[in-house]
Amino acid sequence: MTDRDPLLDRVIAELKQPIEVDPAARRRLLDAALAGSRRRPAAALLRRLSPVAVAAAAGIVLVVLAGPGAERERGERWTTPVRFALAAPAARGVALVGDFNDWDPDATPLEPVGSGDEWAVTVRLRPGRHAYAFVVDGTQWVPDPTAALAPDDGFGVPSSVIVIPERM
Amino acid sequence: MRWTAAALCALLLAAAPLHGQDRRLDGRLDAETRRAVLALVDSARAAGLPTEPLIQKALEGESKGADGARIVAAVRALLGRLHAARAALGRTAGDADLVAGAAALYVGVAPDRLERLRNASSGAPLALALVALADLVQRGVPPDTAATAIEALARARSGEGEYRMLRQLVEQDIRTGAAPAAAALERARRIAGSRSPVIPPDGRPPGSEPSGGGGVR
Repeated sequence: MTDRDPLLDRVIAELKQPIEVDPAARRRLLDAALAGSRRRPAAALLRRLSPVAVAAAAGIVLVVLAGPGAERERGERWTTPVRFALAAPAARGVALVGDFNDWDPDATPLEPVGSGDEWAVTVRLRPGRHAYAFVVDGTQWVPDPTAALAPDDGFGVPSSVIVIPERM
Repeated sequence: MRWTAAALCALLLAAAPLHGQDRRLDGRLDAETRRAVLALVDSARAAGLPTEPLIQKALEGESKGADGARIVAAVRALLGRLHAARAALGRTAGDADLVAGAAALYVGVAPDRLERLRNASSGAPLALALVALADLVQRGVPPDTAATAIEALARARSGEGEYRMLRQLVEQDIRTGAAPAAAALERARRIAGSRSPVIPPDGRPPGSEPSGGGGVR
């Protein structure tokens, strides 16, 4: 611990003193602020625009903000990289399909790793429960042997499940 | 300004069905199947249930080569299970919990076991526990026994590592000849025992039922 500088103490004491404000000046400031808010330039602009144009602009904003594409884009900020891998030495190609790529076999191909016995890909997933599977050589659906099983609810082809926890 | 308001209302009404359409189904489903799926999606939206799982179920079916009738049946059945999962897990359950709950119901877990699991978890997200539960049942563990095993882990505030360990150890035990039910209970007991139980904020002992008013997570 060091002794405090007396000069510093005086400065602090001075800063703690209440500041006197001229009531007339305060009144002028308040009047100016209120007059500014009464003008409402945005409302005047809206009155001049065609109602249909205003509604169309609002509609475009609504569709862009509420559309599924926008929802997907907002979610991408909170994604987690996940590595998917499958040992398939004899495969000519392996793809990852799941509810994160609309179950599209062309969307997420895996790459051979090392000597080619293993295939792998890393994708970014949003928090939640995701069902997925591998498609070997474009025809054979294979669940992830290291993951939890997803119930086969009517399509006759097994899938796997991964849960991405919410980030704190 | 009245004209502006009227035009805006008309446009909002016209835009609402746009939100219900999903371009991802175009070209993947025939028109009749698409209409039927979208009607179910709208029904889910009106009920406040997640709609994306229904869209994905339809796309999954198409990708797996299912015909339209089968796809619609699967989407309809999933919608029914989402309703049931929400009734069991409460209105505050997250989308992932609802979808995982629906899967657990599909493999034969009773709704009251989902409620008990929700109470045992004391507000923690349930998706991990429900996924592990459905997995155990699919590996041959009877649903009630699997639910008991998972509740033990939930009470011990288990995380992803513990649920994964349970799944892998039970799978290994079954492969080496153990009875699935005994393997699940014994492994769950050991894993839960290795964790210190946490007294919930309301002070009740872990696993005890909440009072009547505390029905939601």
